[in-house]
Amino acid sequence: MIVFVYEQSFEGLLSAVFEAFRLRLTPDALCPEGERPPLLATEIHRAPGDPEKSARVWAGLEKKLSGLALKQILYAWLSEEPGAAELVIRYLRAVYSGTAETDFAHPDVMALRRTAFKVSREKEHLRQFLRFQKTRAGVYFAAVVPRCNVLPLVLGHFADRFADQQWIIYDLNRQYGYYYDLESLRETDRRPPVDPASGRLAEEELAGGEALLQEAWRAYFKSVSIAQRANPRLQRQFMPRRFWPYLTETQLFPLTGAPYGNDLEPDRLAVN
Amino acid sequence: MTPELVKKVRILAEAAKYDVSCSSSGVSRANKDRGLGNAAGWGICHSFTADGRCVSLLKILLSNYCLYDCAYCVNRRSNDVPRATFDSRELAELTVEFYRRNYIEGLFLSSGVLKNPDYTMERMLAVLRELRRGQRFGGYIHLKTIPGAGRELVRQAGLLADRLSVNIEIPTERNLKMLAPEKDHQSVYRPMELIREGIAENREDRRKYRSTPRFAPAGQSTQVIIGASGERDHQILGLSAELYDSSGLARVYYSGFVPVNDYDDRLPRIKAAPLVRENRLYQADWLLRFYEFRAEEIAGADFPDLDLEMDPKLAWAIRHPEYFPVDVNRDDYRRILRVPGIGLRSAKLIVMSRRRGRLRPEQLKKIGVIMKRASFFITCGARESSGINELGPGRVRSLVLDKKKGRNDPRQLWLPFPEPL
Ligand code: SF4
Repeated sequence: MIVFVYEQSFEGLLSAVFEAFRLRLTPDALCPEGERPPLLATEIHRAPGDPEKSARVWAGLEKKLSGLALKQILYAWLSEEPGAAELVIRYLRAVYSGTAETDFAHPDVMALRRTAFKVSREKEHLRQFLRFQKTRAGVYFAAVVPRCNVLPLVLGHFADRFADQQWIIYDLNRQYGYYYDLESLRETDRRPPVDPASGRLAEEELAGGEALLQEAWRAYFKSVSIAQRANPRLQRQFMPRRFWPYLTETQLFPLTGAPYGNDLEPDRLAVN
Repeated sequence: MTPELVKKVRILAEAAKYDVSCSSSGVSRANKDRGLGNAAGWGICHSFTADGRCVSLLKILLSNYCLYDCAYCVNRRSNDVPRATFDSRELAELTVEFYRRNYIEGLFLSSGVLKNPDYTMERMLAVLRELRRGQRFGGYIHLKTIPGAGRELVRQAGLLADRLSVNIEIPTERNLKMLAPEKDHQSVYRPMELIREGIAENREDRRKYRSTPRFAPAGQSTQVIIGASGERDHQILGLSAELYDSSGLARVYYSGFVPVNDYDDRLPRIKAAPLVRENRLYQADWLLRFYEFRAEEIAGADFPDLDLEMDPKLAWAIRHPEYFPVDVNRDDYRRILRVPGIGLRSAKLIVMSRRRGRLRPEQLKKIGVIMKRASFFITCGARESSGINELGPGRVRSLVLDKKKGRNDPRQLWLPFPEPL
């Protein structure tokens, strides 16, 4: 079994691609630096991260591949799925030995497409289900827990849409986020004071009126359901349960703690 | 935000929810001058209600007071329901606050008829002006035009909104007059025609001057209620086809009648909304728009209603064994698209992949073809012995339906944009 030891980043992966082509070898496994290589390794090559090599590889790929294929490669990497790095190398090997990008009968071409598809779905989920809470400081804050590392893929979307408000999006799983301050976008790793199970900020962190506004959204959400058409399975199919604890409209306990009147009863649709 | 406003939101959302359209697609627009908002082109669903419908826009009425007394509507004047009206500023601010939190793509505004159609339109336009100018809002706006609204107001509406709609509600005029005595088709088709003209002229003007502001860039749509009156499916689909072809509508929505005013004798006695029928109509609509089917092929005089047991594409194929088998390695895209079990995506992939060599069943499966259905209608290499022509249409029908048994809960079938496969 041929193993490459590589730096665990997209650039690192590209450097490994460089080595694979230089040595005319297709590694069976990629092992991140600092981790123990698999027991079955018979041949171990070091492929350290090298900005120059990775840039050369990327430039080469840009010439050879379509925009779609480049995107699929990046997405496959961001999937963080086991075997994704190996898949990218196998895919490139196939394409460079004559397989067409559109040959979906080829297992690696199809697998890359599948993996990339999963990532774009998760990216879409982030665009759909991310919820901002307005803080005392006037900054809009959202905590997210995506399955793959898709945060970098949606920044452009949010920066364009919310150009006139300051915002922070923080990935609780990967413990990093981005802060947009009306001028530029910066990475931040400062852990926000949120409940990790719901992404909610403590009440004293919220802007005045925020709790009531969230209440209005919950009221809206409840009112638009048509009881005669109830179909919870369909709802879960489109909006998987894992997102619910983080969605304003499905969160159970209001932060206000205000007593609910008859027409303001707790949301029964919420997760328990 | 006050508790009173929360209450208003509840009343006016409740009153708007029977309008099915929540689409925010059809226009791409980047943010302008660092204001607020853009339009994403494909439309984003931000949530899904307990009935599985997409929440994309803040779908709400300006007011649920109404002069009219349409039999099928909760807001009719003779109903004793809580009523409320938004002030334009209030509603514009609410929209913006929801938008800033990524709850919605924009606003879908509709209203009961206050005083008269023009007065109502005027008040709705005030909300739109406040949003676009006051709040510099660049998100999506869908405005439901009030039937009977005049030319100038429709023109202004088109310059502020991304999409306009006028709901036909009842497919034939006779039934419309019976159920909604204050309305007639003229009051619907006239504004619809004005919008069509507006869009056409705007396209012309923009060809000459790129800077001409856009008029209803996401087009216009309409809704018909299914099952509140006696129209057959072929009448409904014929109407849709005409609306797509000659009025250039972007979408026709079908809304299974939810029995709301069961005291009214003019309405049919039904216990539940006809969801399966509604779903079949959406599938048929899809065939009209993307699969190059003609309405008469899907439902006609001798088969006036859609088959509730199977999707209309499969039903068509079973009626037309002479069209098959289709050779996936040879036949053109349009023919392949007619095969049950092959959708738009897989038809494209087939045409792309087969250049590299013959496709076999395993590869079709990988591409996403549902072989359980398609196998009766295609050839791919080996001599098929179990096609529709060998087995006969009746046998294929029972084979395909048998496999689906147990999954026939009508509610599971309902999808917002169900692609017939
Ligand atoms: S005009 Fe509209 S709101 Fe008024 S009763 Fe008829 S359908 Fe309902």
